[in-house]
Amino acid sequence: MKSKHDDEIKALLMYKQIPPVDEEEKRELVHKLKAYMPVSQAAPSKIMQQLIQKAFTSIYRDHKIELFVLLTFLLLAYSFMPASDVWIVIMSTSPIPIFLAGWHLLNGQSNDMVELELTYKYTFHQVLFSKIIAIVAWNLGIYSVALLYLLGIKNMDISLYFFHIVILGLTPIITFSLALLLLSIKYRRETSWTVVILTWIFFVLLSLQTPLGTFLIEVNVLFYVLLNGSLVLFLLHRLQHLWRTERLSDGIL
Amino acid sequence: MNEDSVLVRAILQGDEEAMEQLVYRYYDEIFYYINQIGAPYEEAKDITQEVFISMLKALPKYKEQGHFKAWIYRIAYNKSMNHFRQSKYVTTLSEAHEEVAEDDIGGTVENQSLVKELLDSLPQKQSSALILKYFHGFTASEIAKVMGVSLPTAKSRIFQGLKKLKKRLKEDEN
Amino acid sequence: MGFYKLLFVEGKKLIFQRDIYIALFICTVLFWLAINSNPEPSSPFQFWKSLASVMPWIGYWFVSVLIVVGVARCLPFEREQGMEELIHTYKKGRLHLLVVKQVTLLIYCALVVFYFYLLAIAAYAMQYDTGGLFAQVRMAESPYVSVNPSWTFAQLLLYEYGYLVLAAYIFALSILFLSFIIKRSVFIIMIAGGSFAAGEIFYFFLLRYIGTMEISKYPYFINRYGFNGMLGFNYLDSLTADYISAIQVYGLFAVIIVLLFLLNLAAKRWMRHVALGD
Repeated sequence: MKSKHDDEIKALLMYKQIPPVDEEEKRELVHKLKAYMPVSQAAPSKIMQQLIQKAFTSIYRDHKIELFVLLTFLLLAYSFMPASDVWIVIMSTSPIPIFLAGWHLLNGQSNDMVELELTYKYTFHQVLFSKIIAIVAWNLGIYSVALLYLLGIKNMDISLYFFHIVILGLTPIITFSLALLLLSIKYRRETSWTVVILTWIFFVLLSLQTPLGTFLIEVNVLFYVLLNGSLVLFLLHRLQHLWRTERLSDGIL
Repeated sequence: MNEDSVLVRAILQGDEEAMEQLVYRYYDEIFYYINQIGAPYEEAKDITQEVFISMLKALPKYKEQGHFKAWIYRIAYNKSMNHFRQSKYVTTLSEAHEEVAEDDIGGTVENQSLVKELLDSLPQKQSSALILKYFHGFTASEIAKVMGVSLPTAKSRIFQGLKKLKKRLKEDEN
Repeated sequence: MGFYKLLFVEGKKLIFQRDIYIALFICTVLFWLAINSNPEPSSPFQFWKSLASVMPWIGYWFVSVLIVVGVARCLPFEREQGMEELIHTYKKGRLHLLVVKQVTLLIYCALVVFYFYLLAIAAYAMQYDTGGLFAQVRMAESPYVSVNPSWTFAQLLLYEYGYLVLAAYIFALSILFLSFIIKRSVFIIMIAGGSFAAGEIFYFFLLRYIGTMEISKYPYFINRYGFNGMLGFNYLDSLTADYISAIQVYGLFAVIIVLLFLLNLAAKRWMRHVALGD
C-alpha cells in the first residue's frame, strides 16, 4: 500500500540544485588529460607475437657468448659423462639456461625498474610475459640440441629409457619456469633466485650421494608425464593471467 | 551505437576533441555526485580530476557494452570511497554542502536543507544508492554496477533507505 | 633501546626474510624425500642410530643452506632497505648493534638445527621403533661419529645438537665477516653457498676419481677440517678421535667462536675508522 509519504519523499529527493562548477577547472582538466591520451595499439595477438620475437632475439643479442659457452659446456658434459650417470647429468644440467636467464631477469628488476617500465608503451606484465616465454623457448631449444647430440654420439636408441630421461630432464625446466614466473611477479629479488639455484645444487648432490637419485629414476615415467602435464597447464594458466593483468588495480576494471 | 561509444572509439584513436566532448558531457554530474556523497567542494574538484585521468588510462581496457555512464560512475564511486578511507573521515552531507548552501537563494533553502538532513541520517551506502537513483536517474541494475554489488543488494539499499526516510518523516510529523 | 628489545627487533628482522622461507620449504621437501627414499631395514635401536647419523650424513647441507640465506642479509639489511643513515645515529653505537646481531645469529643457528632434528625425528619415528633413549651407544654405533661407547643415545644426541649449533655458528660468524667485505647479499649467498657446495662437490669427485693420488691429500685435509668437515662432524669421526676428545672439540669451537666474535667487532670498528678517515 502506498503511503502519503512515498510521493513526498520522492518529490523531495527529485529536488536538486547543482553546485556551481568552475568552467576554468574543466578547461584545465582537458589540457591535463591530453598527456594521458591512449596510444593506438595493434591487436593483442600481434603485440604478443612482436614482444616474444623481440625478447627472443634480445636474449641472443645480449647473451650470445654465454649461450655459446653454455652449449659447449653441455656438449662436453654429455660427451664425457659416465654411462651410469646419464640421467643425473641430463636432469641437473637441463635447467641451467633458465637459471642464468632468471638471474639476469631478476637482477634488473628492482621495484624502481618496474615503476619505470610501467610508463612504457607496453605494460610491465606484457614485457615479463614475453621474456618468460622467450627464456623457456631458449631453454627448450638448447635442451633439444643437447639431446640430439646425445643421440648422435652415444648411439642411444629412441627407446622407453631415452623417453624416460627426456621427460625427467623436462621436469626441472618446467618447474623452474613456473618458479621464475611466480618469483618475478611476487618478490622481484635476485636473492630468492640465488637461493633456488643453491638448493638445486644440493638436490643434485643428494641425488648422487643418497638413494634419492635411484628412487627418482625408478618412479614410473607416467608419474612424470602427469606431473609435467599439470605443471605446464598451471604455467599456461599463470601466463594467461599475467597477460590479462591490467595496468590499474584500483577496482575500476 | 550510442554517442558515448562513438566518443570512446574516437578517443582510442587519439582524437583530443572527442575527449574534450566527453569531459564536458560528464564533468558536472560526476563532480556533483562526488560532492553529494560526502566530499567537500574543493576535494570533490580534485577527485573529479582523478576520475577522468583514471578513466582515460583505463580506456584501452574498457569493454564496450553500452554502459559507459555506469562505468565512469563506478570509477567515481571507487575513487571517492578510497579518498574517504585515506582521509580517515567521512564528511557529512551537511558539511559538504555548507559552502554551497550559503549561496542558496530564498525559497530553495528550505527544501535543500531538508534533503540534506534526511540523507545525512542514512548510512552512506543507502544514501549513495538514493542519490544515484533520484538525482542521477540510474536504474537499480545500473546502481548495482556502479556500486559493485548484486542487483538484490542494490534494491535492498534503495528500499531500506526509503523506509528509513519515511520513518523519519512520520516522526517529524508526530 | 635495551639489549633484549634490540634482540627482539633483530630477531624479527631476521625471521621476516622471505628468502629463508623459500629455502626452508625446498630444504624440508628434499630432506624428507632423502630420508624416506630408501629406508634401511628395521633393527634394534635403528631409530637412534639413524638419528645420530642423519646430520653428519646429509642434514648439515640443509643447515648450512639456511645459515647462508639467513646470515647473508644480516649486515646488508639496513643498507638494502635504505636505513643506513638511521643506524649512524643510533646512540648506543653500532658495535652494540653488532653484538646483538651476533647473539641473534646464535639463536637462529640453534633454531635451524633444532628444526632439522625435529623433522628427522618425525620421519624416523614413522619408520622405526623409538624405544631405547637411555640405551648405550655401543648397542648401535653410528658410522659417522665416534664417541665414548658408554654414553647413552640421549647424551649423544644432546652432544651432537650442541656440536652442530656451535659449528653452524662458526660458519655464520664467518659469513658475517665476509659481509664486511662484500656489500650485496646476493653475492654473499653466491660466494658462501657456492664455496660450501663446491667443497662438497670436490669431496665427492675426490673420493670417486682422484682419491688415491698423492696430490689429493692436501685438498682433502682442507676439506676435512674446513667448514665442510666441521659441519659434517669430521671432528668427531674415528680418525680425529685419536687426537682430540669430544669435550675438547667443544672447547676448540668455543675458542674459535670467541675469536670470530671479536674479529667481527674489530672489523666493524676498523671500518668506521676508515669511513671517518682516521
